[in-house]
Amino acid sequence: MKDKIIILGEYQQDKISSITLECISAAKQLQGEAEIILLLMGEDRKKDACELQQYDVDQIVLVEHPFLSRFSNEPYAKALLSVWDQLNPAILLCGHTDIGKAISPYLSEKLDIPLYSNVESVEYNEKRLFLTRPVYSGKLIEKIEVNTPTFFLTIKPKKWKASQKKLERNCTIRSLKVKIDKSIPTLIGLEQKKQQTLNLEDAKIIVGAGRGIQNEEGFALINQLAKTIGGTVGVSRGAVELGVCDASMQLGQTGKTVAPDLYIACGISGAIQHLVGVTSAKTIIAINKDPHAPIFEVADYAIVGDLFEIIPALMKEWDNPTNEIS
Amino acid sequence: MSNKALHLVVLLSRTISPEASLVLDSGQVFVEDDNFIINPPDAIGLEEALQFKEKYNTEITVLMISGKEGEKQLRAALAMGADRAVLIECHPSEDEAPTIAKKIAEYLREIDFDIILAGDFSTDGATSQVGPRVAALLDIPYFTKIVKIEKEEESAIVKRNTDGDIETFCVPFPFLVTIPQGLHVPRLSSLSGIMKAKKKPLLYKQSEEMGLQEKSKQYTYPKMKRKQTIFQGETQEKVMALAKLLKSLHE
Repeated sequence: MKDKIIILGEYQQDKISSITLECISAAKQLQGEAEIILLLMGEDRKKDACELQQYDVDQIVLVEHPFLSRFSNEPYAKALLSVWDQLNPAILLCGHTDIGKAISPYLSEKLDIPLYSNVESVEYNEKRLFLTRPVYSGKLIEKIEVNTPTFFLTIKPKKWKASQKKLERNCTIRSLKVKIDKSIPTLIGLEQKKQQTLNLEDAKIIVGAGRGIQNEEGFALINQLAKTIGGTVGVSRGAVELGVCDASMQLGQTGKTVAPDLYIACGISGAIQHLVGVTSAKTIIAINKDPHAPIFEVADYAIVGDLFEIIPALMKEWDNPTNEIS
Repeated sequence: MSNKALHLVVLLSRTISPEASLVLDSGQVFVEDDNFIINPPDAIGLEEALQFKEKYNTEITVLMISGKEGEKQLRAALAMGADRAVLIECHPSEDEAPTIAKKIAEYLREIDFDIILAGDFSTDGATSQVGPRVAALLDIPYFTKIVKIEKEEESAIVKRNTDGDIETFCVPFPFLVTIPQGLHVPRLSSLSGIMKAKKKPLLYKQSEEMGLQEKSKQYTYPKMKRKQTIFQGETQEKVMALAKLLKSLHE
């Protein structure tokens, strides 16, 4: 029987998330002779499964149950243990996301299978498998050899390119039944946030706000700049601590990992915990008044100056047609 | 039940201060012992426990799996306001999430507790594994990245923030939570707190070395290739250069 690689499918605002497509790319690298299975869990996922048939996986496995309609640890863990039992895969692959981080160590412990977390590259060298992962807030890279055939992997977001759709649909869909009891912690309330139009993870341009924005006025300025140039706003922990914005916009070790085409860091000093979430950006521009701020070391282009002066001038210049490139 | 103090156990680990410089030699990391601190997300877990204690009748134990040198961080936690500390011996070869979780669970099986709190990750390994592993070993409910815990009669109300949505759960004791970085700013210890900490109980438990395979790990510095172009001149000149660049990137 062929070895199996299972990818735990994740959703964001009811759309398959980019991390799952990144997992497919990582799985292709590990594939060898193995079969790649995309696992979709939820309440009613048949339609999604059909849409996902064009992705480069061998099989889609549906696990549907009313208790799986929203991610929560206990029912998902129970369902995954049952899936593991039924399919007996070699590798489980998921994103190093809130869901992946919550569920993979639990399963690793229950099944006594090693887990490698936050992996950013895999490499075969003479049939030996090596993984790398960032440690010490990204200050160092750790390289480990995997010496078991069965293991779990969580991958760092944005380190693999999202797998693209193919023209044909040749993967099969099958359903697995799982038995789940009602979980003990009961969800008694849910406040859904106002949906942002675009996920930070998918944004091509991100304008970052740090402690240097000082107050709500500064934050409004960042929002204006983002609107002017067609970007989305992300923040550092410093800005969250100012109390002007929500922690769900935070980028970095505690928040999201992004890889936009352009990241404009405004009033962000560049603490390593923040940088670890943004250094996959193609181009980084920094605006900061402290010439010694570490952000300048990772920036492609930078202005040393007061953002309250620079940003209004920049927006004015942006709207100035005489500054078109010839 | 209502009169009995709740027992909160805060899991602490020691980690290298983010400001410390890391020295590499033959792919291995060297750090001076003075550069260790309480793992910042764990310190926020302790702060959450201390704020909980301000509202409800609570006793706080801080628990660390480390070499003897961990005593310094445990004393600091006692100075912040924890009631007692437990240090369980860890051999250098055992410094891996699965072993640490097993040692924590082994100790917790022997005592009564109501809530276990841990940081969402450590700033060194950043695997985020220990909390969920401990919950798996003890077979108790767990919640990652919570934002609030409140006590009801026989249970607790736990709120978590998942990507902007606020979920509220009702859960009986005991359970485990992990705390995201940025939830609180950990308090500084007062002089009287430091004096009191010297008299608070700190239990040191030796533990057998678990037979582990030595894992070979190699460390390197990440490569960063950035242009590092700083626009010079008067504000207007700099801004014009930047606007021009932005427009070209926008093409």
